[in-house]
Amino acid sequence: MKQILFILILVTATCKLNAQFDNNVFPQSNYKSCVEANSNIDFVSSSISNQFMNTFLWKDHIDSTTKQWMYNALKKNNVTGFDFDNTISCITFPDTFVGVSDIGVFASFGKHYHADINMTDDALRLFFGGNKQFKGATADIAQSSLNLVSYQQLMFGILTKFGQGSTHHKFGVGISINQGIKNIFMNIERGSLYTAPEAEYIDFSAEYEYYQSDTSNNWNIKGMGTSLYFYYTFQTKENDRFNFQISNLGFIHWNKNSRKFANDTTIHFEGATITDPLNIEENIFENANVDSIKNSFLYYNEKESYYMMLPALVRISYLHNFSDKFSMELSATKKFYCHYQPFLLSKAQYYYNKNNMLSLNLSYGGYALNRSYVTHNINTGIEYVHQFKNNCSVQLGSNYINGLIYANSQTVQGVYVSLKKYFF
Amino acid sequence: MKNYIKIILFIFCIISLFSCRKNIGKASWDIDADTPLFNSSLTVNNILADSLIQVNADSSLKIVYNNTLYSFSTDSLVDFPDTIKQTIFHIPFTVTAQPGQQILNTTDNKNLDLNGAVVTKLIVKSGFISFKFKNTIKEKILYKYRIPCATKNGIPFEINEMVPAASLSEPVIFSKQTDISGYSIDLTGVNGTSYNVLTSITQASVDVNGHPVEITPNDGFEILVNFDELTIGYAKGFFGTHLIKSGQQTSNFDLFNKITEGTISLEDIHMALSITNGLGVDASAIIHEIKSINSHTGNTVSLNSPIIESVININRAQETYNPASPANSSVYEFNLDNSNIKQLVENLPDKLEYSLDVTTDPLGNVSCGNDFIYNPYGFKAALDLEIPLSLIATNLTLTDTIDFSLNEPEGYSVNSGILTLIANNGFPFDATTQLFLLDEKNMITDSLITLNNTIYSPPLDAQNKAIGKKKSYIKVPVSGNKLEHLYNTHKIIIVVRFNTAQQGSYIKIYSDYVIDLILTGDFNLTVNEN
Repeated sequence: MKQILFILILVTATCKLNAQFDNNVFPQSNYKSCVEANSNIDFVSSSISNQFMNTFLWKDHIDSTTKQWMYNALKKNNVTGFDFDNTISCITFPDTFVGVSDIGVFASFGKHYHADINMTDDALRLFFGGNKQFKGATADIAQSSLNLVSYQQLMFGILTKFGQGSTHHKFGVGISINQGIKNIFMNIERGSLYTAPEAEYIDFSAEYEYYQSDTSNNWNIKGMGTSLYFYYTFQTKENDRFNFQISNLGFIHWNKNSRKFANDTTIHFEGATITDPLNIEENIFENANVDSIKNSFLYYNEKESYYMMLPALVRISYLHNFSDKFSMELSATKKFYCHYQPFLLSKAQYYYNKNNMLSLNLSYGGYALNRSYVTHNINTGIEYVHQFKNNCSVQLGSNYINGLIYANSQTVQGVYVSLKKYFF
Repeated sequence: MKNYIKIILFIFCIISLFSCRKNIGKASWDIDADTPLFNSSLTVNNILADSLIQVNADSSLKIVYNNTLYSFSTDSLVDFPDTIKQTIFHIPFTVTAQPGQQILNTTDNKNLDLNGAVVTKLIVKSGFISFKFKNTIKEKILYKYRIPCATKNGIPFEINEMVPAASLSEPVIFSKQTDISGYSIDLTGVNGTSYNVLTSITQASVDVNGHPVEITPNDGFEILVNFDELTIGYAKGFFGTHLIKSGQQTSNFDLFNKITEGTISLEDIHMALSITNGLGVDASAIIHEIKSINSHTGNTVSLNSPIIESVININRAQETYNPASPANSSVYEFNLDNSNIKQLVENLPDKLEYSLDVTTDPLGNVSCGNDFIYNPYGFKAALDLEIPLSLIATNLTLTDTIDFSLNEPEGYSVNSGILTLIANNGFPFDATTQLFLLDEKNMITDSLITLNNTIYSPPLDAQNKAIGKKKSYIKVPVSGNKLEHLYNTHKIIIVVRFNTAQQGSYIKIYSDYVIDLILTGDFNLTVNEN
C-alpha cells in the first residue's frame, strides 16, 4: 500500500497553486494571523509560440512573418489556456471560535481571468489570416471551442488542525461568492466554410452554440454564483506533508440579459441581392456591412440567462524532506470543465540558508501536451523564496522558465509572485 | 489592535501592486478577406418596365408604349357655381311670434350660370352642400331647407336643424356641411321644361317648445348655401361650343430617359396617333405640332405627317345606359408609319412637345340638348408606339445616380482592396462601365475604374443570336487614397456604354437574354485597428 501511495505521489507534483495558508516553504507555526497576496499568469498552448502570444497579449501588431511562424506550427487541433489570477487572503486564529480552540478563520478576495481555447488549424488560419487563403477550398472549423471568463471571488472559510505531537492533520473548507464580470462561450460541434474559387459565393455550415454574458454598460450584476473549497493536509513527524485540495468547484449564473443560443445552420452567401441594378433606391452598401451579415445569419437577439461551471481544480501533492536543506515535492493537478490535462510536477527545493530557498522543477501536462517545436513535453521551472526578518516573505517563480528563455520555439510561459506576512 | 492596522496597511500595499496591471488583449493583425458583396441579374425588364415589353412568337421582344399627349375631362365643359342661395331676411315691423309659428317660407328657382352650357340633369359624383345660418332672434328656430328636385333613392334632399337662440348681445352663427354624393338633380324647373334651374324651399319657425318672442325689424336671418368640392358624375344637356387650346405643352417621354449619349438605329417601328372621345359631345381637333426633344443632346425632331394641321372630326361617344360601362368611346387611329417617325424615335427623346386645339360641338346644339358627359370619360390624344427590339446601338450610354454612404468600420480598418465585378453576359452587347464618385456638393472627386472596363458579348450564331454567355472581369483597385474618397462619397454616377456585338447588322433582343452580375471584394483589413 505504501508503495502504491509512493508511486502515486511520484507521478504527481505541486505547482505554484499551493494550498492556501499552508506554506511548504519556510512553514511557520503558532502564528496569530497571516496576510498573503498571490498573483500568477500562465499562458500555455500546444501550438502557439510565446512570441506570437506576447505580441497578441500586449497589443502589438502581429506581422505576416510572425503569423507564418504560427501557421507552420499548427496541428489539427490546437489547445490554448490562459489564466491570470490575483488574490488577497488572510487568516487568523482566535483563541476560541464559537467556543472551540484550534480553529482558524480565513477570507480571500480574488479577480480571475480564464481562457480556454481549442481551435482547429483552419479556424486559427481563418481568424488570423482571413478566408482568401481558402479560395476554392473548405476550412474545417469543427470541434472548435472558446471560453473566456472573468470574475471576482470572495471566499470565507474555516480550518482546523488536530493530531498528536508533530504528526497532525489540517482540514479546511470554504465557500465563495462569485461575481461574474464577463463571459463568452462558443462551441462549434460541426462547422466548415467554403470559399468559391472566385469568391462569388461562400458556403458556411455549422452546428454551434454561443453564450455571451450581459454586455450592457451599467452597474448591473452580470452574473452571480458560488463555489466550494476543500483542503486537507497530513503532516508526519518528519515534516513530510501530504496535501489534497479541491477548489473552485462551482458555477456562475449569468443574468437574464445574457444571450444564449444554439444553431444548426447552412448558409449560402452570394452577397446582398440587388433586384434591379439600374434602379437602386436603398443604400445597398449598408446591406453588405459585415455586422449586418453577422447579425442576419449568426446572432439571435433573444436574451436568456444561463449557467456555466467554473474551471474546478483538484490537486494532490506530497512533500518529502530529505534533510534540513533539501526536500522534494511531487504533485498532480487536474482542472475540470476545460481542456486542461493532468499536470504533473516534481519540485526539488534547496535551502541554502535559513532565509533563502531555491527550487527547480520539471513538469508535464496541463495545456502543454502534444506541443509543436519540441520533441518532448517536459517543462522546466524555477522558484525563489526569501524570508525577511520582519516575518515577511516573497516568493517568485515560474513553471516554464524554458518558455521565458526560448520565446520563439516554446509555447509555454508563466510567472507567479506571492507576498506574505505573518503576525504573531 | 496594532497587528490589525499592520494587516490593513499590508493589504493596501498589495492592492496598489495589482492596480499596475497592464490591460491585455486587443492586438492588431492583418487579414485578407475575399467575399461576395452583391449579386444581381440584368434583363431587359430592368431597362424597360414589364408593361412595355411584349414577347413575339420567336421570343424576340418588342416595346409597346403609349404616351398620352393631351387629355381633358368633364370639368373642362361644365363649371358649376359655388353659391346656391344667399339671402338676408328681415320682418319690416315688430311682431310677437308664438311657439311653432312659421316666420319664413320661400321657394327659390335659382338660374345657375353654367358658362353657356344648357344642363337639364346632373348626378353628383362627390361633393357637399354647406349651410351657414345667422340668427339674431332670441329663441330657438327650426330651420328647413329642401331641394325637391335633388333626389337619392327617390328621397328629396332635405335638412332640418334647430338653431339655438341668440343672446342679447351676440347672434348665433350655425354651420353645417352635408354630403350630396350620388344625388340626382333635375334642373328643368317646376314645370319640367326649363334648364339650369335649381329649385329650393327654405322654411323657418319658432321652436314649438319655446316661448313667444318679439321679432323687431333689426332681427333676421342670414342664409348662405354653397356647393363644396363638387364633382360631376353625369350631366345631360348642351355644353356649348368651346375651343380648347392646349398651348405649347411638354410631356415626359420616359422610354429613353436614362440614355444620355450614343445613337441607336431601329430596324422597324410603328406609331399611331390615337384619339379617344368618351364625351357625348362632337368635337374637332387640329394638331399643330409634335416634336421629340433630347435634352441631353439638345436635338429636336418635328413630326412630318399629313395629319399635322389637318382638321380631324371626332364623333361623340354613345350612351349605353349600362351603369358598368355607360359610354362607348369613339376611337380614331391615325397611322404615322408614312412619316419621319423613325427619326423622331431615334432621336432618343426624353420629352415630347406638342400643340393642338379641340373644339367641342363645332356645329352647335345638333343633339337638341342630348349631349352627355360621364366621369371619368373624357377626351384623350395619345401616341401608340411599337418598336421591335432589333437594333444597332453605338455607344448607347445609360447613366444613373445612386445614393451612397460608406462609413469607416469600427473594430477593423480597410487598408486596400480590389473590387471585382464578375459579369456573365448573355446579351449581344459589349458594355463598358465607369463609376464616378460625388461629394456632398455633388462634385466629382474620383473615378473608380482605371483598368479594363469592358463586359464582353458572347459569340453570335448565323442569325445574330447570342450563344451562351461570356464571363468578364472588371477589377477596381481600391487604394488607401481611393478609400478616403469613398468614405467622403455621397453619390455615385453609374455610366454604362453599350455597343451591339456586330456593328452594321441589326441585332434582335430575346426574352432569355440576361447578364449575371456578382461584385466581390478582396480586402486587406487590419483587425482591431482604431
